Amino acid sequence: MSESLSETGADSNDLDSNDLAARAGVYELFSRLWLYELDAEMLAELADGSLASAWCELGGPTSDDADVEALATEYCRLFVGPRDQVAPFQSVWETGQHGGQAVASMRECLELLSEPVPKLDEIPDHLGVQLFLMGVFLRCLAADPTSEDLQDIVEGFAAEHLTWPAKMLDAAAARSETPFYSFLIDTTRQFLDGEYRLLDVQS
Amino acid sequence: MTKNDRRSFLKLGLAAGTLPLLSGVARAQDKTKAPQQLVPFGIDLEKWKRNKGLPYAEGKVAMPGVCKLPGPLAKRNWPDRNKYKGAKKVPGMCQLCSTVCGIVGYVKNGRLLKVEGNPNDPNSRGHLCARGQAALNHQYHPERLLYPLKRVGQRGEGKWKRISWDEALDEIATKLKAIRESGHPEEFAFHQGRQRSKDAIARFLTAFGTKTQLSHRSLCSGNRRAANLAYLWESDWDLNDVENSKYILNFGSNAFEAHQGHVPFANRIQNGRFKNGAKLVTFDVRLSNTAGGSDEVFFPFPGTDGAIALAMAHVILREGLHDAGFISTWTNVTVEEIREHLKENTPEWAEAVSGVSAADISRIAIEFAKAAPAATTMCNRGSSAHLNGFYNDRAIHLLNAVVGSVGKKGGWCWSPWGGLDPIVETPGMPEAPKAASIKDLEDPPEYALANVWRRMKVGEIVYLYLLQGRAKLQAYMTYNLDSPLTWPEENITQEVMTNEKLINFHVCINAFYNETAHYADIVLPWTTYLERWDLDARASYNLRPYVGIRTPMVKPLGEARDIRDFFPDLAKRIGGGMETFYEYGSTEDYMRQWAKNVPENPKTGKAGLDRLLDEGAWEDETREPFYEPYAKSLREEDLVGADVDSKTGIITKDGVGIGLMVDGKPVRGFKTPSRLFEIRSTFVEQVGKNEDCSAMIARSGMTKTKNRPAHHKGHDIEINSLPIYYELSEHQNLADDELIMTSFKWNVHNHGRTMNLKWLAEIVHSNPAWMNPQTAKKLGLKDGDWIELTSYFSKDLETRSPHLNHAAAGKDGRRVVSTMRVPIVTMEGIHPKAIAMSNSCGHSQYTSVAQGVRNASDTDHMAGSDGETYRDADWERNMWWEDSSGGDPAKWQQNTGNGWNQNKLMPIAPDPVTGQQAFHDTVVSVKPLARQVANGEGQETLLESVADV
Repeated sequence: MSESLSETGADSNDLDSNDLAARAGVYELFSRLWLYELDAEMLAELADGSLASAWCELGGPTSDDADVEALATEYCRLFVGPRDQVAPFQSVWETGQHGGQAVASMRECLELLSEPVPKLDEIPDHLGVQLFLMGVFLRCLAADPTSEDLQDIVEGFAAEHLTWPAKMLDAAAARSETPFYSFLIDTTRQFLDGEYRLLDVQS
Repeated sequence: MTKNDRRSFLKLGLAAGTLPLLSGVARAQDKTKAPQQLVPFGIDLEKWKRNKGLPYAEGKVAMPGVCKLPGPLAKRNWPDRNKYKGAKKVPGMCQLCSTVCGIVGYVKNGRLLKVEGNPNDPNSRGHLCARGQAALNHQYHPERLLYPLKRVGQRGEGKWKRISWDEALDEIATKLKAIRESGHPEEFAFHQGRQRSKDAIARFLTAFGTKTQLSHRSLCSGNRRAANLAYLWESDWDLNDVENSKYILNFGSNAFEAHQGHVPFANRIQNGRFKNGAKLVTFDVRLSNTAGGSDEVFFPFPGTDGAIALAMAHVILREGLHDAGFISTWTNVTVEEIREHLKENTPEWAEAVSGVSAADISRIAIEFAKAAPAATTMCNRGSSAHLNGFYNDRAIHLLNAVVGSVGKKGGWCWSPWGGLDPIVETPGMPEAPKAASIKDLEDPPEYALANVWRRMKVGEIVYLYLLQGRAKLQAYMTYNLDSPLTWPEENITQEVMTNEKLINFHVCINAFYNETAHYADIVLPWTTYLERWDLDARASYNLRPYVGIRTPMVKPLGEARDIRDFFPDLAKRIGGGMETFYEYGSTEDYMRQWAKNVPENPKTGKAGLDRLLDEGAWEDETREPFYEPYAKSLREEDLVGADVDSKTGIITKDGVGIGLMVDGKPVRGFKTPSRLFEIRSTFVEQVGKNEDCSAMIARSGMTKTKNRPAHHKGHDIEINSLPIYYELSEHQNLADDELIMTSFKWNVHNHGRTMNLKWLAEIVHSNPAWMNPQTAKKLGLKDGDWIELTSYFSKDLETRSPHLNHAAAGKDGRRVVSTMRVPIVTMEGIHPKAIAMSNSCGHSQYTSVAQGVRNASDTDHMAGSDGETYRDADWERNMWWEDSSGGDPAKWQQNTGNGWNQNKLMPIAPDPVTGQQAFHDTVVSVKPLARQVANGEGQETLLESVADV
């Protein structure tokens, strides 16, 4: 795979399709893991499947730690509630309630998609939806790396919708009680930190 | 992140990019599509270009969303005139209390920006209280339930996992289907809190075949309703025509803050006072805002309102100020009979009972009578939530008959329309299967008047009876109910809800995770009242019915669904014919059918649902207010085939009463057995004894009134046919440290559903006990001191209702309910022998706001604020739950957290006649606690009794 991306920011002219696609893949994976509980199939992919090698390289917990039911309970406790949850919604962390500016903005962003996704529109400022959308944008950019419009979208979207989660991730990390979600929270932070540097946006 | 890490991420990303599993993410896990069917997403660049970038990028477009509050430096920009530009005004009806005021929501880009009163609502007239203003907190609360949840751990342990609606409904349907097919559908109980979707609930329960529908009415208004019914039969709700009144005599009602008719009633009271010159006189044990806003206030001994009222009637008769014509023509007793009945109820007697001076009682009585017929009493839980509450309210209502203000303009009125204008008809249902109920829960045989006129139920006994093994539930569905907080004897509610043998399966429907949800097996996220449909109305103070509409102003948040939406789905899964009850199309189709008879507005050309969606409410202004209905002449066609009883003058048709001959003319009369205003109710006396009252019921023409059913046999009770004062023995000869506990609601809260709302919790979040300074002095207490309260079961009920006894007596022979440590506030505005604590407080669930959870200060975390010009210090510092005492108990009066659930102290105490919970009669003993005893470590505080110290 390509390693052309610098650590400190990329000249748009240097954008590499493979890198962009790879980054899109990470966003898509994290989107899946933030939006939904793990099922056995996903868990198997991480433990023994096509993702296992890279997952392990990053220090991801293996199937030894995994129990779908227990992880679902932990997911619920951490991100769904019904009490003391760390709600992964941008509005909640920016305004203390649902329905903030981020929702309207995300709704407009989702309308850019070629195919409507009603389910994601329910509360569109969920971190998982934002990660998904970034994945789509990057995948589009990977297909046309010279598009300045797409580069603008990627940078603008990251600045507006991916720089908020730091405090949420801190709070979630403090509450997490399973290796899997501790890892997911920590790894998401690491990945986003890298993206901030790459895209030259402030968290 | 190291370069190696980044390499690993990219490796992971490349692998993930090929994973079919992830292609379904954006389709919301749509596993019906094979991965290869899913094409990669593209984006509409042209659309993006048209919008010139991300549409809500800062500074480009005015953003809807969180209300930007002004800071001290930004007042020039307040209010923001552009904020509502382009917003759509959507009608609805509030549901943050029971008054259901008409509202208008300002909606922009799918976001509710503001809620205000709807001036088209004929009852609330555009007014909206503080609770209603907090709609935005309710709608966008960060801790709203968004997904169905299934219990994972032990019941009450608080462990959950998210499940899909399909999974939830499948599991519920499987359970309910089995119950239905077991031949005992009644073992599925539906228990509602405040509900305004009566039709939707009735349809589901009818289709299922259970009549075990439980409520909280007896915890609210059973006595007042029963007292009204005993006089009127056709209505359980007096609508005092205060706007046209000259004299308003208030017995313990706090209409300015929390009455069921709250805003519409308060508005008309003030109009009556300031536009019509009415005088408002209040009797209350506590200086409520209504009492404080009255022209005169008196503080009677708790539960003695009835004695004062009887003495006033005595004075009015003695002074010859009664309306002899009304009494002789329209009541079923003579003046002499009343005089004889009240002969012992002198003002001096009432003074001895109540503590209010005989002179004041006499003076007020005379003033009231002289203002008649534009004079009315008003009352509510202050007089009725007592073990003698039925008689209290009977006595209070009597005053209106004595002065002849019954049904008169400015007097004591009612209407037969408790809700919607009957012009709108609920869409029909197929023939229902045979339904049954668990009789002991739905109609407990001990309470004679609970269900004979209307189904008022006796909600507070439900958990005790389950504990006693008098009933069992296979499935229990709770709906907007917070019984662990709002029911007396919290410990019993919790014990029963935890016990899976007593409640086999519990589904909770709520918008928030409350104390009830905590004991559920499945929690279904309910819509808010801003996201759902209803036609709704209350008994209107205009004395004629109307139709209001509740509409989905915004889309439900997350996966929240209303029962109108998922009951059809659930019914289809249960099957067995239930699905045939839901063949009306969409919810909007149903609403359109329901509203179809709302006539056209000639100005707009809109009718039916379209008119309601346009205006929010409709009232037939051609309909005369319901004044003196008893004097209306019967029409000739009504009299065809009618018979007149020569002795009583009662007119019947086919054996059913339709009117009364008065002065030789056929008139409607009252809808009672005598067709008169029944000061003497033979019915209550006889029905109490389980006697057959069929003939009486027929004469009344009230076809829904029933004899007590067979399972009531053996549960006879003496009910006096006349208004009397019933003295509670346990309130006599109280020791110095014994007080009578009373409860109340604030003007910013309802009982159990508003403490989660930040704007309201900022105003009131705690409930120290109110104590009179004289009492405090006697007990050696001062403002802010802490006390330990010990509450006792009612001695009166030990003998009158022995089936309730479930706690062992202590060495002193007294049975303790519970103890609680609270601080006091001292104030003159409370009777010296009463101690008051508000309800609404002391949540153990219901979001971190309601629990007063203290969070660390976070200067970057601001709510509802404009980051440039305003900092929301409340949020940053959590001011209202901040511990400002620094661990110093001497300062604890400033730091009372989220308060206490007063119901821990309250015994289950139904009025033996009606079942109304006596919230205001509990005797408590008070033990002062040491003012300042630290444990030496500077953090925790020990509180000990003064005696111990």
